[in-house]
Amino acid sequence: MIKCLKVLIFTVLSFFIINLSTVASEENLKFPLNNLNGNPLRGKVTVRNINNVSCLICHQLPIPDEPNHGEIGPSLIGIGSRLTKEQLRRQLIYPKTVNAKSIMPSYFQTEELYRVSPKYIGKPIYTAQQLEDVVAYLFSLKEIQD
Amino acid sequence: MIYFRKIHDLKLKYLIFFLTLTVISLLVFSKNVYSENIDFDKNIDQKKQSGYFYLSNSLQALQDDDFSNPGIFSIELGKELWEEKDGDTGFSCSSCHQDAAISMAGMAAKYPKLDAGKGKLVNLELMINGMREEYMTAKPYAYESDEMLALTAYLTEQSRGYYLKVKIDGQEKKFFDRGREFYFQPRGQLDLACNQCHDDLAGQKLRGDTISQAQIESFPIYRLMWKSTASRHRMFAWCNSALRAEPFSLGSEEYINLELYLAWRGEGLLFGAPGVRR
Repeated sequence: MIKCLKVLIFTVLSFFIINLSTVASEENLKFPLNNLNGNPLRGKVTVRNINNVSCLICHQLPIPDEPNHGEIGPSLIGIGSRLTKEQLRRQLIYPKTVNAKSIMPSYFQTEELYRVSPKYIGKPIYTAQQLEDVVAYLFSLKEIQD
Repeated sequence: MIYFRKIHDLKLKYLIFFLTLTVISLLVFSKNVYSENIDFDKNIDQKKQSGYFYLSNSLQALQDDDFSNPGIFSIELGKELWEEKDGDTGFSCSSCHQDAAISMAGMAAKYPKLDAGKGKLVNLELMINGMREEYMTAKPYAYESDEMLALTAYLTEQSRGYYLKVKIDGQEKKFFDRGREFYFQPRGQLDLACNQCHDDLAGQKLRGDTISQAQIESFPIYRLMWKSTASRHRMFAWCNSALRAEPFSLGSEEYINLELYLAWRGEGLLFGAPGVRR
């Protein structure tokens, strides 16, 4: 009986612990990854790199000299007025916690993926520095008030 | 349950009861989430569209014109290969099958199909190579060789105007189920499953390209990006690599199973190659 109880208590506790740990890691999003400084100009170069899962594949950005912006995700024009840096970081690192049905890939996840090509195993789409640069760039996109 | 009756402490009894209830409800809940995914393939039944539908007008015109469609060269080569004697027996395809326009009419639209002798699912390519080895004692063609593409294009041409129709019950069911599982499995660094784009977002713009429904009735296609004719499996491998997932080899079981699922999903579309794609 005591064994049974122990198993039950362990199950329930582990649920709590799992929940607590995700909350904890999400709280860290208030601060830049590894305390790195994001550079918006570098971020703009990063998002335009079509060979590295560019935002432009799915989203519209205020870069008129780029042709054919994607139309799958919401437009990112003025996104810096709508989201905080913390929210931008969350969207890039844990997109499915913001919207469970989102098909956006995580730009910083290397685990729980299936059949990743050997070239990319263990590597996130963006490095911590690239991610911070992109956060800084997106945050700089403010809505223009008339 | 016997243990349960022996506990006299009422509080403990309640505690165990509620804890069990929580665990059971969690299990049931997670099962519901899973079954939601399976229903996705109904979406596609609403209106099936060939990849042709998503092409620009000029590319549609290129596909429609048998004199300028670059894929037609494959059909012409295929016609020559149909008559060409090969292997120790000195047979050609036509030695046994005679006129392809009669003997092969509607045949390609029924593949992939079970090879009952081997208990294996085969597509057109594997069937051709099986025939070459078994009856002609000729060397099999490499999967993506000009010859293989030419013969599949020629055979597909004989089914032009037929409807895609495959068998998925009986012994085929397990292959079909694996193909469907493949289709709904997120993969690669981009963590995307086929259905997330080709069921849910068909018609929308991915950068400059329009996402199609991933229908396979017009293969082999002539792909402008590759400047060559291409098989279904080459397209699967390309799409997998685009997700930064490790592709399977051309002619692999996994891709043939996927082919069966996609063929079933595209049933009712008019069969015929070569399609022209970007």
